[in-house]
Amino acid sequence: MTDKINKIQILSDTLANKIAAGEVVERPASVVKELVENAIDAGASHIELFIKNGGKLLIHIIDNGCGLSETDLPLAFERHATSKIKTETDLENIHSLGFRGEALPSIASVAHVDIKTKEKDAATGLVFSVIGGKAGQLKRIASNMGTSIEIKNLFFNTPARRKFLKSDNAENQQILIVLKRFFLAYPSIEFNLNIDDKKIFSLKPSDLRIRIGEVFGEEISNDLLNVESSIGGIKIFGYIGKPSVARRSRTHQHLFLNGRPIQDRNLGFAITQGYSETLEEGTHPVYCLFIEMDTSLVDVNIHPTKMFVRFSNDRTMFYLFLNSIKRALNDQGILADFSQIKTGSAIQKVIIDEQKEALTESRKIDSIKSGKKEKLQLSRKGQQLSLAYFKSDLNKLENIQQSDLHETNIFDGFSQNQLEVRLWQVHRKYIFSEIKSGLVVIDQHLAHARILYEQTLKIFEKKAPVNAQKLLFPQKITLALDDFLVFKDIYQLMQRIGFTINVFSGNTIIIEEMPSDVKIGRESQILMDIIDYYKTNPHGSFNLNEKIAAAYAYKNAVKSGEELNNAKMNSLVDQLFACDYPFFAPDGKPVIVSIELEELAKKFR
Amino acid sequence: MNFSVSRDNIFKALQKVINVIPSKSTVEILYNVLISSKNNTLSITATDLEITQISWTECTSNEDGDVTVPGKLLLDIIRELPNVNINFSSDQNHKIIIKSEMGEYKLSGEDKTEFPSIPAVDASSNIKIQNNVLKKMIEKTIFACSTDHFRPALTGVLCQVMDSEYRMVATDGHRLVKIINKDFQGNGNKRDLIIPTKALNFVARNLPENGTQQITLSENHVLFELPDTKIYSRIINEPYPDYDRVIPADFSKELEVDRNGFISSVKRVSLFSNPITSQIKLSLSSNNINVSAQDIDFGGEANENISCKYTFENLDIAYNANYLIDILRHMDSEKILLKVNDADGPALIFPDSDNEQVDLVMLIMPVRIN
Repeated sequence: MTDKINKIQILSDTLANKIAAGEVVERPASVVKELVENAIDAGASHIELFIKNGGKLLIHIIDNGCGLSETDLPLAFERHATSKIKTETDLENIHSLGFRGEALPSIASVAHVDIKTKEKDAATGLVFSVIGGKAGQLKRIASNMGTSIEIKNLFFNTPARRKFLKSDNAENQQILIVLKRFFLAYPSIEFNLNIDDKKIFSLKPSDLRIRIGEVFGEEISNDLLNVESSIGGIKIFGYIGKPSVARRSRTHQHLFLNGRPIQDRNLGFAITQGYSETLEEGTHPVYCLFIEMDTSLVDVNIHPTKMFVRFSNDRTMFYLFLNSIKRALNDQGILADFSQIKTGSAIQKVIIDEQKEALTESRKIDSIKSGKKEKLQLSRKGQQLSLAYFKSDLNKLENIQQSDLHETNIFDGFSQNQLEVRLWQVHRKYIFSEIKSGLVVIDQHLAHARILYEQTLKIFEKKAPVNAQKLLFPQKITLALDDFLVFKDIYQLMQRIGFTINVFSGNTIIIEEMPSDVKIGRESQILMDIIDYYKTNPHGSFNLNEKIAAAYAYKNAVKSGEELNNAKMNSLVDQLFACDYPFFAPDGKPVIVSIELEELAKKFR
Repeated sequence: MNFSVSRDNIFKALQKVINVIPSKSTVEILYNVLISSKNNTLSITATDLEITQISWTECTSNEDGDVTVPGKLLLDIIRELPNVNINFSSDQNHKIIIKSEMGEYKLSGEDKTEFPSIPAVDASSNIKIQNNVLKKMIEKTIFACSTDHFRPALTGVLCQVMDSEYRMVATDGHRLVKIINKDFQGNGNKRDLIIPTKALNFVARNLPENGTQQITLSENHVLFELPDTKIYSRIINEPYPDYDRVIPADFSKELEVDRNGFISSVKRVSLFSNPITSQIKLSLSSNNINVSAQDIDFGGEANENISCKYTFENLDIAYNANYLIDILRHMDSEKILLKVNDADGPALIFPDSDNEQVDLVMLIMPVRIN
């Protein structure tokens, strides 16, 4: 063997950058993306862009950001040089758009780069150029604050890549796709875009709704619905288009995570599900939605283009999106509205019937104190909602929640048998039932956990009474020291939900009182379970009350494997539907899953 | 096997044991009953592995033998027959033919060897209790047992055989019943055993009004020998909590009230309590009980006043209405006495009139007043 062939050599930086450029700098649009990100990270409020020949000849970006200093400027072109992160821990907590320190050196290795920059307090500006990765001289020059960067002759030294670029028009379109995301994500930044010396966009700082109109077109701006919701530290907001403006392509779908455009099939699917059958077949909803969440709950560093991220709890995200979209459409009366259903329709009959029965029940009290009236309705609503759910379908649910039950009181005379919702327990684990569009499956454990969770939170908020049963045989438990410390942390809250526990001596405690729904014989078990649950703490975003409520709910809920009779199933389902969020367990898992008839039919093909 | 029996006789015998058959079991054979004919006696056995019951009746045996038959099916056939003579036969393949003047029924049985054997009970130690007393003691205790299997000891009734006392104790941790039969001779059989409630239920159902029946105690089983039937039950081998320690000896307050009036009042008011907690409040003041409940979820509220004998300081105390009603219903005196110290401790409930033979006390734990 000749040693010529097998000799391993370390690549020169220039060559390494050239190779890396293949990843980061795919086409002019990716250059634009990297540079605009830099401008935004630099705090610019005004960004000017000039594109020529689809960016192949020139990409020129001028911003009014913070600029670069004399020492930083040459460093910016070194590989993995970045101002945005310094240590490994910063990687967990990424707030800027760029962070990998690859963009500038990669671009510079395959183009002519001229950069002019001036820091705010610097006396003069700086000019610097890099050609095919080779740095030139740093010179001083008179300049405005900010950075102007010109990328010329992209891929001049990589003919293979150059060959694969598409027509100017096609590259321009790609650039526009990239830029529109920034336009939408930063409505407060002024953008001016010139392509081949023609002004394409001139966007003044404005609010999101106006910006969406400017970017998507005026006709859409009148058909936007506001979306806003949050759950445990995750906030989503933005606008969605009414089903009538849905497009044949997905180009009007924008999702941003902490200001960064992302793509996520899971969430895209959740949004489409939220529209359910209101969309015409083959059309895709228009949306521009923003997610704000703790950066530690999401990994943005899984793909070089940063377009894909990984959520630590993607199921919660799914259902949060699904519900938010549904709610937004409901608020606007887009989804089939209860009030629009003809009087005397099946579902309404069912509801009225149920209501009449409820009123004639022995529980009926003639003079309900006004403060309690709402609660009375709520609890009956649970039954009605569950009934409505099974008798019709999901979409009508939230409308019923909003409609005034008493107004429907005038209707009369319906047969009783429509009231029956048939429930089956399967594998002592799931409750099955039928709805119009298919099959529903409720997880009994998660459903009960949701019920107990909300009840417990209500107790914390003093909206519900504590129910504490004294034990005839107090239970003595000796805890491990770490468990005992946890116990001391959470005891105050446990007492509020009905526990009375005294310290006997050292780490030994005595349970004297328990919430009365805790099963006899489970006293010490449930305490240990709560402590363990609290220790393992799977929910960073829960506050202390929520954590205790969740621990208690999960540990005291009906287990998988417990047999439920019909009465128990019915009461469980009714209570579930009286909850504020019947569709999620406290940690975001789905409680109710529906299987569409179509899906079943497919299986039999 | 071949025997003839009157429909009424076999029906009666079968009915006695049929409830022992479990409603759900992974062991298929438990759905069957064992039918044996020997020396002109027909015996029928059913078991759920915990309880085994045998009943017998006279028959005409043509050929002795045993076979197991699906119990519910057999009962369904016989139930619908008029009182005629039935001939019952089985061959080696356990094919069973039931003939009557109405017709013929063929069904498949299974071999006797598949059927669980009857527990061996050592006859050396046995006790005797009057039927009416035993029945009363069972009825007054089993309602208070726990139905949850987290603490198995509490799912049964503790039976304490002492020198001159026989006690039965039941509790689920929230209420407790203690009943003592003072007219009793232990004959040196000092023993504590926990008997499952299901077995006691069957015993109470099969006990005649009069006479005295024999109870045999062995290591792991107890055997009740009743007229035309025997009930074997496994004993729950778990430690029973030290119940005597939690029953206070002295009380500072005492209340005497008409039992029926009190029950009705609590029942009516409890309709307005929260259905999950069933919490009702008793406010005791001079010769008056105010019973009240409130259901914040439903917006219901109720209160009633009943007169009573009470001469102590005012006291508010809350209970789970279902427990209280249960206890009051299982008293049979006209008036009851309720003794209590404070709102945090247990209340003891006694019948007002002393029974010379039997001492009864029931205990209920309060719930925290919000």
